[in-house]
Amino acid sequence: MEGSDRELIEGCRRGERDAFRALFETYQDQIYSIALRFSGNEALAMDIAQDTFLKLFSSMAEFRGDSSFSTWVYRLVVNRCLDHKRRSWRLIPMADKVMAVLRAPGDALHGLLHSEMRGRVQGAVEKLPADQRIVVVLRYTEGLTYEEIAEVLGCSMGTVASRLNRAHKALGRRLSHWKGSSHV
Amino acid sequence: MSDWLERQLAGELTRVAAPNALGIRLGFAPAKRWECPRRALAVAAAVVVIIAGGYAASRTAALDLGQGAARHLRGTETGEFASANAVAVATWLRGEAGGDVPPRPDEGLRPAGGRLIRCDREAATFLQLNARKATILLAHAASDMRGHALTATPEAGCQLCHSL
Repeated sequence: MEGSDRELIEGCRRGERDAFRALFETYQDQIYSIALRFSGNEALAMDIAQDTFLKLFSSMAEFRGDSSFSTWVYRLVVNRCLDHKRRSWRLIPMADKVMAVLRAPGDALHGLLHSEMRGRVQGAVEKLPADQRIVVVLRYTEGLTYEEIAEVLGCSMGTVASRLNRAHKALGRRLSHWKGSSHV
Repeated sequence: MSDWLERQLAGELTRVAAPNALGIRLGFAPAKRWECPRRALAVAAAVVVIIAGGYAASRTAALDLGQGAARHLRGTETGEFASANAVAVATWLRGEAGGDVPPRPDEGLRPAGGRLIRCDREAATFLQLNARKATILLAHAASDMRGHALTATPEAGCQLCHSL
């Protein structure tokens, strides 16, 4: 565990607000990104990230240092993602996309094409089973190695490789016909 | 897995910055919604001050005008005499305005009464009623036109009197 993390943890255990704030600032992008890439929805990602931080702050005393603190944080957010009930959020991304187009500047053709491809990729990821999806997110959003993913998920590297392989095949099938339009 | 898919996944699933709303939810960031109302309130307060200042200034001017009119009226001695008797009205006007006011039955006007208005200079108004209300203005009592400058105008005001 890094010294900075240790200090933050000790500060949080003492109930120091500044320590909580520093912890939040350190991990907010990481937690929110995983939640967003997993759920595909900003509002749901906010809920997941909020739940994760509340769990993180409330269970700080439970962290015993058996794994790295960042791995422990990953586990918390992954569990929140997997536990979170699928609500009616499938309708919401459409509204998000509409708002994104409305907010887009006039020269946004490039941006729209890019956004379109991002939407395709995100949509294809969303259709993956949750166990494959979380592996993809940890791999490509967080850049974790197979070994690190296995540690976070509590499974073997072989399982990670298998899930990732199946995810790649499914994603390849769903995205292959967009290959020619991905010049952006 | 193709390189293309690897690039797409690596490029499109990147980490993003958490929105400020997350910090607000958790109490680590000031809620911006309180900043906007403060700014809006300041603007609104400034607008109210400007409007109130303008209103107060106009109100002051209006009060000044009103007070001026009141002062003017206090200095104006107005007398009225109501009667359908032409002789009585002429007698009253003669006594008040100091000039002869001949009745004008030939114009079909019936006397209704007399009114004496004292503005800066003396003037008298003779009211008559016929098909419509008419006002006959006399020249200023102190002027050379007194006694022969009769003018009949519908509801003429004191300005016309002064313009004679």
